[in-house]
Amino acid sequence: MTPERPILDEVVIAGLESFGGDMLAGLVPLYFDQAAGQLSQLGPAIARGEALVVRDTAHSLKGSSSTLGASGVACISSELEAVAKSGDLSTAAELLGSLRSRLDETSDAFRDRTNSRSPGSPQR
Amino acid sequence: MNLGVHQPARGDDLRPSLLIADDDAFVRSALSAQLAGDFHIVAVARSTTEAVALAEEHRPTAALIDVEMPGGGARTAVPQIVARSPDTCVVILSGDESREVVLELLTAGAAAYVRKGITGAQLSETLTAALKV
Repeated sequence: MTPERPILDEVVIAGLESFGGDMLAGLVPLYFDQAAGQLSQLGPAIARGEALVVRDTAHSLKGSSSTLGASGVACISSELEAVAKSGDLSTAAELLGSLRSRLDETSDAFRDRTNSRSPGSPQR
Repeated sequence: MNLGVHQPARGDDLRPSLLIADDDAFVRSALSAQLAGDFHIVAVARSTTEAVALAEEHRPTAALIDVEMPGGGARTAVPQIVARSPDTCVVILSGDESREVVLELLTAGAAAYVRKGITGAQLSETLTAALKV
C-alpha cells in the first residue's frame, strides 16, 4: 500500500469554502450519499470478480473524493482502481474494508469541522 | 442551495459560455457550483455522446471534458468537438492519466488539461488562461 495520506485536503476544502459556506454544506451530503451507493456496489462486484465494474466505480469515487478534498478516500480508491485494472482482485476486499473505514473517518472529520465552525463553538 | 441548475442566459451576460462533461453526478454538481460565477454554464453532459451533441448544439466558448466517461471519454470527444465546434476551447479534466494520454489529447486539439482536486479558483484561472491562447 502507498503511504497514508491526510484524510482531508485542506487546500481543496478552503477553495470550496471560499465560494461561501453554503457550497460546502450542500456538497458534503451529496458526496456521502453517492459514495455510500458506490461502496454498496463494490462489495458484490468484487465478490463476482467483475474487475471492470470495480475499476469504473473506484475511478468515479476517486474523482468525486478529489473534487471534495477527501484525499484519504481518493488515495484508497486509486489503489483499488489500479488493482482492478490489473485484473487481479485478490486484495480488493481488503481495500474495500479500508475504504469503508476511511469514508467513516472522513465523515467524522467533516462533522468535526462543521461543529468547530458553528456559532458558539470554542475558538481554535 | 442551487447546485448545477443554471440560469438562462441574459442579454448582457458577458461571461464565457461553458459546457461541463463528467459522468460523475457529484463532480458535475461541484464543478457547476464553483464555475457558475465566472462562466455561463450552458450545458452539462453525462457521457461522451452527450458531450459531443451538446457542444455542437450550444457551441460554447469552452468545454471542460472528463477523460474517462462512457462512450470513449475525452479521446473520442475531443476530436469530434474540435471538428463540430471549432471555436470551442476544449480543456481536459483528468484524474491521474498518464503523460501519454494527456499528450494525445493535446495533440487532438485540447487546449489545456487540469487535474481533479485543484481548487475552483485554480480551475477557473486555467480555463480563463486557455481562452486567451
